[in-house]
Amino acid sequence: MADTPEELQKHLKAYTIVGAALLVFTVITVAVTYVDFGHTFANVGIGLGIATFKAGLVAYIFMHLNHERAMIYRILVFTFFFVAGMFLLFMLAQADPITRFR
Amino acid sequence: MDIPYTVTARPDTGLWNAKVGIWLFLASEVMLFGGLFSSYIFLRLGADYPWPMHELQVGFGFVNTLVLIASSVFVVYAWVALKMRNWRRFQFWMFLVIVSAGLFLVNKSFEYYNKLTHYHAELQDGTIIAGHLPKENSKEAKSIVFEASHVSVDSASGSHYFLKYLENKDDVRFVTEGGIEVDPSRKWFENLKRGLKLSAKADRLAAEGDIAAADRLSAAVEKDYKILGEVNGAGQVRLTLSKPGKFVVPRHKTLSWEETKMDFTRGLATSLEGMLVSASLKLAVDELDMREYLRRDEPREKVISESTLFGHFDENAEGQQLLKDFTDYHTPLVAEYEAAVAEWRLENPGEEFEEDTFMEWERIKLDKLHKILEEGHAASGDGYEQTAAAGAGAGHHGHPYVTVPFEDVRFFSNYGPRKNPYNAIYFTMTGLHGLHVLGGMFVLGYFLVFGRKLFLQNPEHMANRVEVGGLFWHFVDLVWIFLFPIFYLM
Repeated sequence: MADTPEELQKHLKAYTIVGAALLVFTVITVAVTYVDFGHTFANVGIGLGIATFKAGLVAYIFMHLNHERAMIYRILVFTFFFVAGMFLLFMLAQADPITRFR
Repeated sequence: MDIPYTVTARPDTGLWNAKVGIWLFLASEVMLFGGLFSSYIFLRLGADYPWPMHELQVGFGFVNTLVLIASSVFVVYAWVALKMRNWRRFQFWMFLVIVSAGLFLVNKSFEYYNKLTHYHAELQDGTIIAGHLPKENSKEAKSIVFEASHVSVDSASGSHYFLKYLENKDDVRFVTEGGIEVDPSRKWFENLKRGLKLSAKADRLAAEGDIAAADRLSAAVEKDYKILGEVNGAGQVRLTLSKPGKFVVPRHKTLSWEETKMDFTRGLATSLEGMLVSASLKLAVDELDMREYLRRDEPREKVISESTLFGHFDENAEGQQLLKDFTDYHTPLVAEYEAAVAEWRLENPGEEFEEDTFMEWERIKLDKLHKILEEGHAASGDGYEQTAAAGAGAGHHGHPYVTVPFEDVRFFSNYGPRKNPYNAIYFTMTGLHGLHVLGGMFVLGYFLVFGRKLFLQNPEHMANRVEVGGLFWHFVDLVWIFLFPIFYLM
């Protein structure tokens, strides 16, 4: 844990850098949407890729996931598992495998 | 009561309690927003219209993204300040967080306001008009105006709700067919329904053979509910108005209208007799899309001269000129589309053509059509804004007015959730996110205003509180990082 003043100073620096990086990536997010990568899935995929990277930075640095206790990671693994399951259910409804492959 | 483990770690989890608590809460929040993100994907994949791209003003969303990211940095600065036991510096950064949150919400409210006051109409012939209501009489411009001499309300399913649409409520008195003056209030209708229920019960008793009880009940009902005598053979209460009642009814609250009659929707179970004043939509046009209409397989001159819109632009030269410019702009687009379809047919002989195949094409074209009005006139270099503003029929920001009878309108809505699933999910997700911003603002604001005492008693506890509040704030930022591209950009 960051408790000594020196370490806190180091943290401050990291926060500033990450904040600046997020601002830069926001500009990039907007810029790439004006470029056509040939297919909707490519366009959306690239946009979401950048957003995921930004979200990762926020979670990893700002939310201190770079140095957390095992308990928190355990909670997150469960969350990921359930949210992925929920997305899968929606996708199954969209793909409609029951009537399609009857 | 003393809450344990606010500062020291609990042995089994290795963490102070609030940390575990906030992460469990965030896990539930992930599920909440996860469900909505799934709905977004579902709606988008299933949309039967081109998904709106760049329909929102990117500038608003972009600024709000920057504001939220900055506020996330400020929150960690504030936390570090507490860790270093510097209350003043904490106050400074936390104050900036609150200001950022406020800025975000103000920005958002402008966006919402713009959406809710922007209107969209699809005509029966396929033309799409977007625009604003005139400043004066804006309510009447999107409503059916009817001067009623009589109101008939279904006694079983009707209610006093029709009064909501009566403009001159205070000047009008209501008289029943029996000549009694009544106040058709909620209470009056409730009383009527109670009477109907009891009378139905008396009928049931009679049918079951309990004649004596039925007679007793009937007599009581007759004595206490004289009001039932006012229900006519059609099961309605017909009220005569002492003077013409001016009703202004949104189109979606009506079932049908004629010169002398108007029916509310079934839910209101009310109809009016009298005189129709107006039943047309008046908009100051700022966008037009005539592709569906112009695709008709008929000579172009005929198509244009028969257009609903062409017939309804107010007698103003700018309106007519505008329409001509639009058809000039749209015709090549339609030709391009037809050519693309023909090419597809050549490449895929024998396969059935589906409009969906060209959704992508449509989408790109739709992008190009945005702001077409300004662009079209900028391209032709005729300084449209000035000429239109000088014209007699010039409306909102110099845009020409069009008045279309409602029977020519297939669908009408503002850009609110009612317009289409895109708008619905946009308002749902950004609205919920906005509430989170508001909530975070209250919590962090509480720390800023009332945190001093705890800071003096136990600064580490205070720092932990801010860390937990900060974790929530980062999560709100994280959600926005996804909302921004999916709604504004792609």
